[in-house]
Amino acid sequence: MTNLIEILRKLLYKLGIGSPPYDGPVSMPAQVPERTQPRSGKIDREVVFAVKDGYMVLMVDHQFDGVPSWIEWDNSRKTVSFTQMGGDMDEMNADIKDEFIDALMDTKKVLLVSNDNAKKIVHFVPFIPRK
Amino acid sequence: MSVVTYNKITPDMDVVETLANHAIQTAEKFGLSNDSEPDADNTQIGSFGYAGGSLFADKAGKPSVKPSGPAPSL
Repeated sequence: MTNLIEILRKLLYKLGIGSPPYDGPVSMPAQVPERTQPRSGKIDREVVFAVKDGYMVLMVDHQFDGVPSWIEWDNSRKTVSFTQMGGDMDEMNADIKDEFIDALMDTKKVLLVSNDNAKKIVHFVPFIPRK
Repeated sequence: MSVVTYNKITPDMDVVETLANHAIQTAEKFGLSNDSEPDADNTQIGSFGYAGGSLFADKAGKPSVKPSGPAPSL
């Protein structure tokens, strides 16, 4: 019976009034990931600025989706933005004591400690201060 | 030399000290010094295991702010 139906399908297709006969599994089109714009998000956490042995170390209780590429500190907005490779940007809080603002204005590079699942990951990142 | 924090809100200084020590050790193991310049295209320098507490007492990551002024009398 199945063979008869297939024969009729092929016959109708040859006459130009049917769909092409089925010849095996249909291959599904590959899933094409949507192209997304760089993401920008606000994370309500404080960035800790610590100095030891001449190193400026920034610490966050956060795991970034991307690799931090550079960091900007905006004192007027009391925020720190972490721009990642690919363009994503996460913004966090930082309320700095007045007596340390000038020292931060001279800072050009920082060690960044952030979460990496059960570990901590360290990045050495350019730092851009803005008053 | 002890660690100094710049924030108005004080984090857990034991955690800060531990993380700073690890970060500096990681940097020096990577070959960095105070004179080194970062490469924005390749910023990762290493990682370390850590099973200690969070930077702030609140596990959600929000800093706890102590009220200023005299303590209320009971």
